[in-house]
Parts: sequence; structure tokens; C-alpha cells
Amino acid sequence: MSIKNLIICIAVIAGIVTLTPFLKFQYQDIMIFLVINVLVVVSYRLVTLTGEWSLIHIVMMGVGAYASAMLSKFAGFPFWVSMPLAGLTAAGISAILCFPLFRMTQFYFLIGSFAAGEAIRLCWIYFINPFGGSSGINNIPVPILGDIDFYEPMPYLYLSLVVVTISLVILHRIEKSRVGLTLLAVHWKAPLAESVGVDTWKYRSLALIVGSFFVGIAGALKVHYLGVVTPHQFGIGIMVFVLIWVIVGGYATFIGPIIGVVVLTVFDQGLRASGVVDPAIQPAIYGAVLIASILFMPEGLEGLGKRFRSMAKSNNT
Amino acid sequence: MELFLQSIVNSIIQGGFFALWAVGLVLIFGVMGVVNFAHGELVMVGAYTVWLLHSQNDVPFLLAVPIAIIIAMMIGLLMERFLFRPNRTDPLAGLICSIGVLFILQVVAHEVGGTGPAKQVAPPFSEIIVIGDFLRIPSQRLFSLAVALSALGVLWYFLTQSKLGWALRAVALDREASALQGININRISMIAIGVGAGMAGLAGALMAPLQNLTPHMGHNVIITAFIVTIVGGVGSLSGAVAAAFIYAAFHTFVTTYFNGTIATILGLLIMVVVLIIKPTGIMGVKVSE
Amino acid sequence: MALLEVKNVTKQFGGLTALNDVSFSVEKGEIRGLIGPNGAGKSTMFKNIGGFYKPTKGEIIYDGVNIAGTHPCKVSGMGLVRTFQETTLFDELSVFENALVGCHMTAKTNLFSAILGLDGQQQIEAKEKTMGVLEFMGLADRKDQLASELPLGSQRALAMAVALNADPKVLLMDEPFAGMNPEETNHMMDLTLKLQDRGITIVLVEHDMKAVMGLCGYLTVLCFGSLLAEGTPDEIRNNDKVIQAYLGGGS
Repeated sequence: MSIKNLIICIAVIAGIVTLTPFLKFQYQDIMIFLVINVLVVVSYRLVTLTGEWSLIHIVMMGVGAYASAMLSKFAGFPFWVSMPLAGLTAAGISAILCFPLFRMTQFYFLIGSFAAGEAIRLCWIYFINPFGGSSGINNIPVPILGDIDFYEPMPYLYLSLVVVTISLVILHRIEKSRVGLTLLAVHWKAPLAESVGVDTWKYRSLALIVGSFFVGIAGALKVHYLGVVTPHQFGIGIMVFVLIWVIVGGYATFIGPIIGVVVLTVFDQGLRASGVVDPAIQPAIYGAVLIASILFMPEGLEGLGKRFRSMAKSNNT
Repeated sequence: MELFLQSIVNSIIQGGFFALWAVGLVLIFGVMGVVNFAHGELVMVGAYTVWLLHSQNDVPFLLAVPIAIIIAMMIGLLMERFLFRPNRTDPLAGLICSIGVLFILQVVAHEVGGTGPAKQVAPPFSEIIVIGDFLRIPSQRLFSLAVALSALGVLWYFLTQSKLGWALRAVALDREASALQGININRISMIAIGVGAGMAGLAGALMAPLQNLTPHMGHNVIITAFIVTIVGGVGSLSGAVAAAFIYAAFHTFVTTYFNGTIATILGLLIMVVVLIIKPTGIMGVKVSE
Repeated sequence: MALLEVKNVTKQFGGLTALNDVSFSVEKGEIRGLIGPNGAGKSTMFKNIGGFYKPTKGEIIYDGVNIAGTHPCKVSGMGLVRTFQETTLFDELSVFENALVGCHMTAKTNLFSAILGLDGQQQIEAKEKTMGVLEFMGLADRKDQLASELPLGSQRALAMAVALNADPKVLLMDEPFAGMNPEETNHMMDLTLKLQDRGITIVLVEHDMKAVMGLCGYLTVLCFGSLLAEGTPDEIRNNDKVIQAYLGGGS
């Protein structure tokens, strides 16, 4: 990564760390969830990188969430163990699902991933033992490290920042590596990639598994702060939010989805705070934003940024 | 034994609804190549229209139903014109736009209906037909089944006997070739979505007196429609109708003897299995990708 | 022994017979032309050899092994690489990145060492190999340009570079001369001969007769899915059946 970008990243993190203590309590919560959602959205981009839009991503977050909740509450594992195990559980389940799912393409893959995800979610609802059914699992233990009180927002924000930053670094390195290049190749022209020996099935699976690993970790992070995990946190409605973040932000580059989730979260909170709009209308606004984005801004916000930059460049010549 | 017979009756009635749900989705996907994720919401719109007109404003039921169909049709036509047509080259974009419509319609329903418990529409036909000692068929359900089957019959006649119907099927089979033959793709797309949305609206209108209405009632519809469509064959209407009744029987019996959630889980798993083994379904013809 | 042998290959799609009992063999080191009027089944044959289709009947023997129906990525792993009709490149990637994908098999990479940054040596080797291929194709000075911004001739050369980086023993070239002006055609012919010098066996599907006659030592002619004739360019040029096929069949 270039020095300029590195400085920007450090500045952003520093900004978050210094500003958040001054925010109102509810906004500190929002900040934590925003940081976690950044991981959700960047890990989703890895999955879509091979050209397939899946609807199972948020359910994988739930798999990680439930795994960590159950391991820590029922089996007594400390958070520091249950969280990576949560990622591995999500990775494992998605690895199994690769076999049926990647025999489908495009529209069928979308529906198939939706069906598989919904089936898993319904299992959480139906099997009250051990998943707790509709009310889920509560009293999920807070992480323990010395006498840091992770019940408080600021310590948990630091924790989330550390975990998410490390994850983003790894994801970024993957993308910049030849593995990432191969994923992009599969995305742009799968038959050409195959003609030079790329096993596209293997790479699609790799993207799904690694993406699921990281969103599983995000799931664990989320529910250990909330203290409760329910099936309704991981329904198709939430999955659509992820889609909206990625589409509005753009997904051609690493940073596009991050722009999407940040801008839309700020927009969402701004809308709520201004009181101009009844919160019940929010989903309709999201729907309109999504439609507008597809029709008028197909490259997303990052695409707009690219256009501005090349306009500025041509103005300077 | 009584339970068994009652379940059969329920299956048939449920099958009529499932068929109406699925047929609309198949028409739109088959002719236009796009998946309308807001299909369940079109059903919901039909139901809410009947609630608004008949329950809240004393419009006769038999008038409210056609109005519901027309309103659903209009929404479908708007979607075709402004969302699906500009995105014809990228069906995924159209799909995502339909998700946007899904949200908007849910909020509209929420605003129209206000907060509070689920809405209910008193059935205009309230007799219960009793056969033998134990078989109870509410006449409202019988009415719904009759109307559903009639609608499916009319659709079948339209598609197989009319020139327009043949044009629809031609476009579903090969859009480019049809265009080269002079078929107006825009007009055919509009007809397809008009009919598909109209079917959805009709289904919703018929459902209104039979269940609680909530803004989220479309969720169940779209899941069922997907399962039925995939199992029956993505391009095939007759497959969808057959699958609708088979799945209705499956779902009814599993719900009666076990549990509704398990029934849906199993249904989804069956759909995944069909997707793996034969994505074109039981009777499907391969739709050109 | 022939390096590539197509034995009685038939390919049917439902009621349509695209290839009908076609047999021919290609010797190591030659440039073989696979020609015929439109619809003859040349591209279909390539797709069968490359593993994209599985022959309904018959065998495809490559290096002694029957590869009929083998998955494309495995076929390329064995050294049989295809270039595509119409320029097929990774549009949004640079010239260098395009070629780099080509050495996917020949300079392997590992996810974990990539993350941890331990694969430095591998990366250097891959980079050198890729630069070598780009220089061979005359594209080294454009290495950071976006593939979609190259002129047609360079794009085709890049497609060949990608294939070349996969260390092919046999290269199936599908109409590489399509849409080229005479200057570009000559340049491409030179590049093709250079590939032959490197020991690569080439099977060329092409309509441009100048290129075909100038490059190929032997021709295999298909018509309506069947083998029509085989021979040297001179023999084929004077073959009545072939002339009739091109004039009558409409190409």
C-alpha cells in the first residue's frame, strides 16, 4: 500500500478513536456497529469478486455469531478462543455448501444461496434446543482481559478496531496478491482463466470460504457486544442492507464498499436525528436509494470519485 | 382419517394459491428474463387493496377484487417501464431494483394500514360447507379455489389459443429470434408483467378474507413461489402449476403432522436439491442464459 | 507418434450434428491449419479438444492420453492452451497483470505465504517470467497500460502472451487474424513463426487465406462438420471439393 494511503488509514483510525468518546452513548454503539459492518461489507466484496452475488453472507455472520455465543456461554470458552472458532465454523459450513451451491450459476446461485441461508435461519428458529428458537440466546458473556470492562463502548470499540483492522489488512493483502489477481481474472473472464489452468470452482469456493470466515468473526464481535443473538438479526432484510452498501459504494475497488457503508450509515443516522422523516419510512428511502443507484450511478460512489478525479486531471492539463 | 381428508382438501385449496403465486413469477421470468423479488409484495398489495376498499370503505367484495388486480397490474407495468426495461441487458440490476420496490411497497402498506395488529377482512361468504360428519370447507375458501382455477384456466387458454399468447411463448423461448420476426418486445414484456402482476394481485385479493394481513406477508409468498417455480421448472407454466399442488400437499401434510417451520425448511432443501440436480426443474425447458 | 490425435470425434447437440466422425492428427512442431467455410465446426472442434465440450463419440488423444471430456483447466494444465475467437482479455487489468495470470500453473502461489508476505522469491520469478513473455511479444513497454486501451494488433499479441505464459506445448489459436489490416497480419504471422521456433505446436483456425497459406505446413479442411480433405496448402488450393465447398457453401 502506498505511503499516502497508509497515512490516510492511520488518520481515520486515529480520528475514530479520538472522536468517539465525545459522542452520545447511542452513537458510540452505532460507531462500533459501523466498524463491524465495514468488515461485513469488505468480506462480502471478496465473495462477489468472482462474479457471483450470494444471499447467504449475512447468514454466515449468524453462523459465526451463534457459534461464538454457544461456545462461550455453554462450553465456557473465552471470547479470544470462541471468536476465531466462530470464523472457522462459518468457513466450514460455507465449505460444505460450496459443493451444492457452485454447481449453480448466476440467478440459480442467487436463489440457491438464498434458500440455503433461509433454511439455516429457520433451523435456528425451529430447534429451540440449542439455538433458543425465535428468542435466540441471551446473556452472552462479555470478553475478559485483565480488568478491562468490555461492557463499556470505548473498550469494545478498541477491540473491534483491532480485530477489524487486522482482518482488513489480511483481506487487502489477499487482494493484492496473485491469488487476488486470479480471483479478479475469474471475475472478468472465467473461460480465459480456465484456459490457462485456473480451477474456477476452487477459486470461487476460496472466495466464499474466506469471505465467510471473516463475516463469521464479525458476527461474533457483534453479539458479544449486544449480549444476545436472535435469528432475526440475520434475515434477508439485513442481507439487503449489505447489498445496498456494496452497490451504492461500488465494488470495483477495495474501498468502494467501505465508502458505501460509511456514507449510508451517516445518512441513515442523520435522517433519524433530524426527525424530518418518520423512522418507519426508512426502508422505503433505502429502496429508493438502491433503485437510484442502479439506474443513475452504476459504478457506485467510488465510480463518481473516479470520474471527479479524471475530470480534475483533464482540467489541469 | 378425518385429519387426512381435511388435509387433502386444505392441500387443494392451498395449491390453488401457490399456483397463482408461482405462475406470475414464471411468466415474468420466462418472458423478461428477470426475477421480480417484489412479487410477494404485489400479492400483499392485492390483499391490502381489498382490506382498504371492502373492510374500511364498504366497497363490495366482488368490486374490490378486480380493483386490486388492476392496481397490482399498474405497479407491475410501472416496474417494467422504469426498472426492468432500462436494465434489460443486466437482469441482476433489474432484480436488485425489484428489491428496492419490495421495501417501498412494504412501507406503503405500513403507512396505509397504520401500526397495530394485523388487518383482517371479514369473509363475504361465511357459510361453512360440511361434508359427511367432519369435513368442513369454508365457502370462502371454495370460492377462492374456484376463482383461482378459473384464472389459471383463462391464462392457459390465452397462452395456447390466442395470437398474443403465442407471441408471449415465442419471446420466452427466444427473444432475439422473436424480435427479428417483428414481435414488439416492449409490448410483450408489458403484457407478461401485466398478467403476472395481475395474477399476484388476484391471489392477494382472494387471500384477504382468509388470513391476517401484515406488510411482511409477501415474504412467505416469494419463498413458496421460488420453491414451486424451481421445482416445477423455471420456464414451464404447466410445471409450476403441477409443482404448486404437489408442494401444497407436501407442505400441508408436513405442517399438519409435524410443524410448519420444518415444512418450509424441507421445502427449501428440496429446492436446493433440484437446483443441483436439474436446475430446469421437473418439466422445465432450458432457458437460454 | 502424433502429439495430438482426434479420433472419430462426433459431437451432437440434441438433433444437430456439429461434428461427424472427424479424425486427424497433428505432429509435434508443425503449424496445422484447420479451415473450412462458416459453420464447418472448426470452433466446435476446438471446444471439444479444449474440454469445453465433451465429444458425443470418439477420442482425443493428447500426448498418449485420452483427454475427451476433461475439464478445461486440467487440459491446460497438461500443456494444451486455447486462445479465443474475438479478443478475449481481462479488460480491466493491465497488460502486465493479464500476462501474469497466464503463469498461474507454471509459477504457483500459495494463499498463506501471500498473506504473510513470505512468497517474495516466487513473486520475483513470476514477474521475470511474465516480463520475458511480454518482451517476446513486443509488449514490454506497454506493461502498465489497461488491456482494453490497446490497439487491436497488440490486444491479440497480448492474448497470445497470456497463453504463452502458461508454457503450452500445443496452442489452439482461434481466428487470431480476424479484422486485421495487412501490416498487423504480417506482424502476427511473424509472432506465430517465433512461437513455432520455441517448439510450440500450433493448430490454427483461420479464414484469412494469406495467413493460412503462409504459415501452415499442412491443412485439415472441415465442411458441415465432416472432414473434407487434408493436404499441403498447394494440394488444398487445387482441390476441387474444397473449392466447391467454399464457393457453394458460402463463406
